[in-house]
Amino acid sequence: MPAIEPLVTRTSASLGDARKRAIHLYRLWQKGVPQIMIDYHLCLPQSVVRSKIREHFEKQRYVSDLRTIDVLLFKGRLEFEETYNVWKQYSHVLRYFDANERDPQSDKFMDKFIEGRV
Amino acid sequence: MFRLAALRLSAVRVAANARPAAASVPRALAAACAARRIEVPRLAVRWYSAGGELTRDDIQERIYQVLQDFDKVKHDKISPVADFVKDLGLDSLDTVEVVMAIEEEFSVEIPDDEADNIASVKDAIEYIAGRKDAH
Repeated sequence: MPAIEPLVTRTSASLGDARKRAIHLYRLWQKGVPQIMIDYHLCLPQSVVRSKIREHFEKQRYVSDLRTIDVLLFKGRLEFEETYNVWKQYSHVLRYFDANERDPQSDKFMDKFIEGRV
Repeated sequence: MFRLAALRLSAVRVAANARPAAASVPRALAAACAARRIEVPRLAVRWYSAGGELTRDDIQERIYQVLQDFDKVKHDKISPVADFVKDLGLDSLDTVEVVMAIEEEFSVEIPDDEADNIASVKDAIEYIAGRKDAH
């Protein structure tokens, strides 16, 4: 079973540093995708998993407060550790892909009605 | 007993002769085949011990191919000096993905610090050309 070393928590010195750390975290996630898919027997295309990771990073794209970014980086790392070390279970991982977890995509009445959001 | 000893001796001699001759085998093989008018496949001349044949043009072509497989890349802007962000219209996360695709294409593992410095097609070509284990 793969295992990653724990990382000492630290604060970012500057926005540039935080950006670099975010990119490293993103790379870590993306590189871990094949192993995660094997460990959890995910019956999803790899592209779906990759775009889900991307989606979670995109969500925080415009965060500019350094302390907030640090907390997000910490949580992202924690989440990765838990996923990659298989401290989660199948259902925990599938929860990422649950349709109800997704942000509402459309504001049209029919779409909302079909998804039960009216 | 005598026959066995003779056989062993001859085997040793053959091995001793074979070693210095090994370097000229491709030429000898080619000459022999030419004499018999046999088509020699080009691959037969290359040894496992030979260095990789990864030229700069090969690298460039394969990196172009990687970039063309990305939907977000502006395909008409691909050039040897194109910058991923400025010219090809990618953002930092896309750049990470492109570098990962390049890693996969050339079967190398690029450490984080070096991957951060790859920001253009030129950087990528330079980096891959500098890696001896890339193929």
